Amino acid sequence: MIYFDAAATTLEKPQQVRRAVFEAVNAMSSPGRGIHPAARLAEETAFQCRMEAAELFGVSNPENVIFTGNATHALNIAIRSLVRPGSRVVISGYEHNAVTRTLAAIPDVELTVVDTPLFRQDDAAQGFERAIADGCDLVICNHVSNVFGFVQPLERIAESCRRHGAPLIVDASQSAGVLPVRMDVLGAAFIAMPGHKGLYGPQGTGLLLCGEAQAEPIMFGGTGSASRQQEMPADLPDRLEAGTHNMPGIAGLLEGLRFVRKTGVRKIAAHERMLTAHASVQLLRLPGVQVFSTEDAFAQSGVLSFTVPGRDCEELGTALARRGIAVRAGLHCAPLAHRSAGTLPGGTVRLSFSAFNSKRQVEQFAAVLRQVLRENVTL
Amino acid sequence: MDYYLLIARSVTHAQHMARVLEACGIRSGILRAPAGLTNRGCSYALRIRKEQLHAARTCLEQAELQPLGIFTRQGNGYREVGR
Repeated sequence: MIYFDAAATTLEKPQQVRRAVFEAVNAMSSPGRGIHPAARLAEETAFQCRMEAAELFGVSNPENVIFTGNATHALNIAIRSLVRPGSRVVISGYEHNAVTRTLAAIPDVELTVVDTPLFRQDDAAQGFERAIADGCDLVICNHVSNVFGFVQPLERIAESCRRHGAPLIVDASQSAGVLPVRMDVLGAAFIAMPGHKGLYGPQGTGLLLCGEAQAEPIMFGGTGSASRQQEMPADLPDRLEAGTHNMPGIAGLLEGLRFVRKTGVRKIAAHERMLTAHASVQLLRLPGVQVFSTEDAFAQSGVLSFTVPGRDCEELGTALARRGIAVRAGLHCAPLAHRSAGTLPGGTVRLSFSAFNSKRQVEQFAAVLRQVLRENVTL
Repeated sequence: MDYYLLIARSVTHAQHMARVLEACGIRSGILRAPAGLTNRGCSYALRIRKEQLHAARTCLEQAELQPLGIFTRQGNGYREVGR
C-alpha cells in the first residue's frame, strides 16, 4: 500500500516507537502512583517526554507540557479555558471542526472568520490584524490547513495578538514535527497538537503546551497528588491530567519526538514540500484535474488537495483505495475550510505526506490515478 | 545520615526540581513524602544531604522553583525548617 494519509495519522512509525510501546505495556504502570519500579519507570518516561517536547517546542517549563488524548482534547481544554458565553473570537477560514464545534457548544460566541484566499499569506496577516484591532477576546488559528496545506503566517498573527493584547490558541495539528513551532517565539496562550501525526507517536496521544493563561480542567479525578482536596490541583500538569496516563502512548511519543529531533524539522519540511511540488506537477499533467497548490513554497506544507470536475471525490478515493493508494476524500472534518476555498459541497481528494514517503510513490500514485480516470471507474 | 526533605507539588514538580539540582551538581532522590508532612495527601519529596540545603535553595531559586516545604528529621517525626 502507498499511504498518503499522514494528515490523519502517520501509519509508518520509526521502529523505536513500536518497540517502546511494546516495552511500556510490559514494564510500566502509572506515573505519580507509587514508588515501585514500574511506577518509577513510567514517571521517568513521562518526564523525559515532557522535556523532549519542551525542548522541541520552546517551552521553558516542562511542567507546562500536558498529555492529552489527541489534538481535539487539547483544543477543548484550551478553548474552554478562555472562551465564555458571549466571548468575541477571531478564527481563520480554515479551521477544523475540533475548533468550530467546540466553539459552537458555547452559547452566544461572537465569531469573526478571516476567510482569505488560499495560500495568500499577506492577505491572511492583514485580515487577522484588522479583525484583532476591531476588538476580540481570543484568536484561534491553525498553523496549517488540514485540507489544503495552507501555512498561515503564524508569527505575524501572533505579533498582532501581542500588539492588541489578545490571547492566541494555535492548532498545530498539521505542523508539529513538520514546521518549526515555538512557544517562546509565538507567546501563545496554548498550543495544541496530536502525537500521532507529525510527531510519529501512537494514536491516543496529544500535547497541550501551556503559556501564561489560566488553564481550566474539563475532566476531573485522581492525579496522584493533593488527594485530600476535592478541587483539582492548581498546578500543572496535574490540573489537566486526571486519571491514568496512556503510558504505552507516551513511551511511543517520546521516541517519535526523538526521531523528529534527530531527523530535523527543517529536513522533514523540505522533504514533504518536495513531495507536494512533485505531486502537483504529476497531477497537473492529468487531463481535467484541478490542483490546489501554489508556487510559493513557504505557503504550503505536505498536504495537497485536488478535484476532478464531474467526478465524485469519495468515489475517486474508494477507487484509489482498491488499487492500494490510501488517501482521504470528502470534507476532512473541516467544512469551513471547504467553504473558504469554494470546494463545498463535494470536497476534495487529499494527499498528505510523511518523512517515509518517496517521489517514486508519488509517481506510482499518479499512474494509478491516470488509469482510474481513463477507465472512468465508479463504485 | 542527616538529610532534608523538599516537598513537591507533584511528581513532575519533584522531577523538575531533581533535574535542576542535578545540573547544579546536587544529587537528590525522589520518594513519596511521609503522610504526616502535608495536609494535602499524596505528595512527593526530594531527599538531599543536610550540608547541601543552602546550595540547593539557591539553585532552585535561580530556576524559579520552590518546594512546598522543607523538613528535617527530629526524633521519630519531622520538623519544618522553611520553604
